[in-house]
Amino acid sequence: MNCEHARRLANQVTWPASETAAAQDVAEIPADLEEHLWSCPACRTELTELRALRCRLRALGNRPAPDHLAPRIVSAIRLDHRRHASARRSALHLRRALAAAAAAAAIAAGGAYLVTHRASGTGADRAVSANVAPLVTEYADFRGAQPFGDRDAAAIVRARMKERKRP
Amino acid sequence: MSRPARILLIAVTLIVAAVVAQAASTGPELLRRSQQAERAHSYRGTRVSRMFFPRYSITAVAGVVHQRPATTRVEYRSPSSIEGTVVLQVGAQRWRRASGDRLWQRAAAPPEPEAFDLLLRNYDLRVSPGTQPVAQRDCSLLLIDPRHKGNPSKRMWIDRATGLVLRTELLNWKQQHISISAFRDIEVNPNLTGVLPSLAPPRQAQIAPRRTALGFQPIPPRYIPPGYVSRGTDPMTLGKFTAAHLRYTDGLNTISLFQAPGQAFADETPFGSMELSFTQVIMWRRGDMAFAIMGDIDPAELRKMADSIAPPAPPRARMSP
Repeated sequence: MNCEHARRLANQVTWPASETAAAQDVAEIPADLEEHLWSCPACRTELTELRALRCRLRALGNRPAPDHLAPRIVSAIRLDHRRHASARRSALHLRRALAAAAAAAAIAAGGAYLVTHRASGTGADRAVSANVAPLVTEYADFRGAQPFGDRDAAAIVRARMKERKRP
Repeated sequence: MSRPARILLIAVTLIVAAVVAQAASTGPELLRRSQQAERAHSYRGTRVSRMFFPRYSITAVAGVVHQRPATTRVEYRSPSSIEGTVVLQVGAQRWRRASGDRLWQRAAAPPEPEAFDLLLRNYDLRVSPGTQPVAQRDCSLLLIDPRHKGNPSKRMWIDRATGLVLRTELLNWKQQHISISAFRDIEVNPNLTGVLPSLAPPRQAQIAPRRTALGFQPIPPRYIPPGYVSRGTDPMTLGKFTAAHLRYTDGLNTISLFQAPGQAFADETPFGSMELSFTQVIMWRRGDMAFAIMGDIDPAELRKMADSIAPPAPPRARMSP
């Protein structure tokens, strides 16, 4: 399994099609994805971040979306339909569009936290998640300086990088 | 017994008692007592830890259960990024399981308790006069400061009744606070019957496989800062590659040196040096290998250590017959 396939599966696990699975948080991780996750910290981090995003969205509850959001979602979906004839791909992109829209709603609701912990980002962000964060966590673990995980470590390094860039 | 002899005996007894009391209150004795306390007492409580960074801090709340002599289970309730994560330590072995995961993962082994003598060689231990309350218990305050400049310090609040450590403060090499960890509440020697199954070490089938074949020979540094000794090399998974984790300790502080094939690191990796409040970081590439060194120590010392890691000499060209 390659990273692209793993991320597609991770999206499906995080945003399961079944409402029951979503509500009960019981979406199973397929064995091949689990195997890939053990050997790929980048995908593991992405899945963790997606899950955290879902938790935060749930915590927001049913807040009314801004008026301009619905037309934008609809146009995004229509654009996706035009571009992708395959029904399966459309469903996947619909989920992605909904996830993106949900993320936008969360940010609109004041989720500044998501800005610093975003799942996707620049190549440097991904490199920090995949290469630097696991080493920082391992060091902290050896030193007994827990508590934090890879995601916190990545956020700490990114925050430091941003500070260094400031004049 | 004559009166003068009785007076002499009482005086000698008083002097011996004073000497014993003084010895018991010295830093090394207090620290040794705290290490033995974990083996003598079980406990259960809530521990709040806070890590400090330049513009913010992370606070974690964890439920801690310790069964004497050497089993400790820590379950994090916050922050959300590690909520539900469990760290289980049995003797010198540690495992971690994130919330939602079915398999445990081996965690880096902590510095061994045998590092006590090493710590005494490298740090001054003093007891602050008086007592201070933590979790409604009277504690003695132990101050641990480095003999070699450029290393971190530690403060420990030790329960006078049991010797258990109830509060810890870590200061980095610049003497800035980097973390505070303290029990909010603690119950000593409680009935743990109900939680015993959660203290059992995971079976082999429940532990994620860890890569062991390095595929390369790690290069040790020629220079190690004063007081530090090697604690061995551990393999760790880094993407599709296995990295080597060379560990060094001075009894309190640690230095980690990571080495991995260069392909394990993306081109966008922020190579160079960085300060992360609780550690200095230097990352670089040389030849077909990538290196990272981390430690809460004067960056000049860390740089010296990094510079001493020279790649092996290229094989000599064969002489033509």
